[in-house]
Amino acid sequence: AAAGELLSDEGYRADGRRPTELRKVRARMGVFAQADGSAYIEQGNTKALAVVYGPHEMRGSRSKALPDRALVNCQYSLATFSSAERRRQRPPAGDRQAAELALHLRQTFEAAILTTLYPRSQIDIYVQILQADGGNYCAGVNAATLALMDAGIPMRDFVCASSAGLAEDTALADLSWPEEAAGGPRLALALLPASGQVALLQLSARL
Amino acid sequence: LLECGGNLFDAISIAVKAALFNTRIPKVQVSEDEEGFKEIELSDDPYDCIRLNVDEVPCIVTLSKIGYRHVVDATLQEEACSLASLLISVTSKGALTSLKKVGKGSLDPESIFEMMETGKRVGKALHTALQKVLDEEESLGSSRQKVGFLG
Repeated sequence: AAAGELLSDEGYRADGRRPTELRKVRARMGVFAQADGSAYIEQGNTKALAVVYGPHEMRGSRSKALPDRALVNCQYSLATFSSAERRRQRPPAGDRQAAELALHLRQTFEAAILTTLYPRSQIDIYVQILQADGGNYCAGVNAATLALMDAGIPMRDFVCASSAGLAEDTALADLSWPEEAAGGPRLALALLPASGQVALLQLSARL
Repeated sequence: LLECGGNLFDAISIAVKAALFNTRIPKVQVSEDEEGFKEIELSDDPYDCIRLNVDEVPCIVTLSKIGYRHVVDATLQEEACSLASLLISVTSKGALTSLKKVGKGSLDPESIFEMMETGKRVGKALHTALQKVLDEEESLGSSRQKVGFLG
C-alpha cells in the first residue's frame, strides 16, 4: 500500500536519496573518559551511543564464566526521548524487544571478538539509542564496533551493519523511520567486511 | 545521565532549568460543537507556542566538606575525600528553597551556616551565568549550531 510512495517516479526517496544511497554518517570515538571504550555515531537522524567495559573479571555469578573464552555481555536500550512520543521507561530485562536485540548484539560480536584470548573474563557492551529514526539496531552495531576499537579489544574483523528494504522491485539501502514504518520487508545485516562473512541476518515482513 | 564525573545534582538542576526554558508548548484551543463532540484546534504556525517562565526555578549547589573547609563543584576525587555534603537549592534572587545534608560524616552548625552563605552567593552567580548563556543561544534562533557529542 504505502510501498509505492517510497520511491518517486524519478527514482528519489522521500528524503531525496537514491535507492542505494546511505544517510550521512558522523562519528566520534572516546566520548566518555571513564569507560574503557566509547563511541557515538549519527546515521542521518539516528543517533547511537556505545560504551565498552572490559575485558575484566566476571561480575555477578562466577559460575557463568567460560573456561576457555570471554563472555560477551550486551545491553541494548532506547532512550525515553528517542522517539516522537516519550517511551515508558521499562527495566532492560522487562523490555522484550530490547532483550532480543541485546541477544543479537551478543551473537554478532561473539563472532567478531577474539574471545579465546581472555578466558574466564567478561566484556560488556552497552548500546543506547538516543534518537531513533530508522536503522536503530544497525547504528548500534556500528557504534559498538567503534567502541570496541576504542577499548582496544582484539577483533578478527570490524562489524558493519545496515538495514535494507524494498519499494516495489527496487532495493533500498539504509532505511529511515518512515520507510521502516511503511510496512514493507525489512532486512538487517551485520557483516565482517574483510572476509565477507555474515554475522547477523534478520528479515521481517508483514503479510 | 550519561557519565558521572562528580557533582551530579548541580549539573542535573542546570540541565532541568535549561530544558524548561527550552520547552515550547503548542497553543491549543478546544471547542465543543452542538452534539457535544470536542474539537481540538491547533494554530497553523508551528512556532506559535507557550514558553515557560523559569525566573523562579532554583538551581542546586552542592557544598562538600573536606577537612575544615568546604568546596563547590566537587570532582569525583574531591567527593571521595568528603564525608559530608550540603545540597542547597537557590533561586536567582538568592532565596533558599530547600536544604539537605548527605553523607556519613557530620556537620557542625557553624559550618552549615557558612556553607549556606557560600551556596547562596554561588547560586546567584550560577543563575546569572546560566541566564546569560540561555539568552545568547535564544538570540541565535535557527542559525544555532547543534553541537552534541560531535562538537
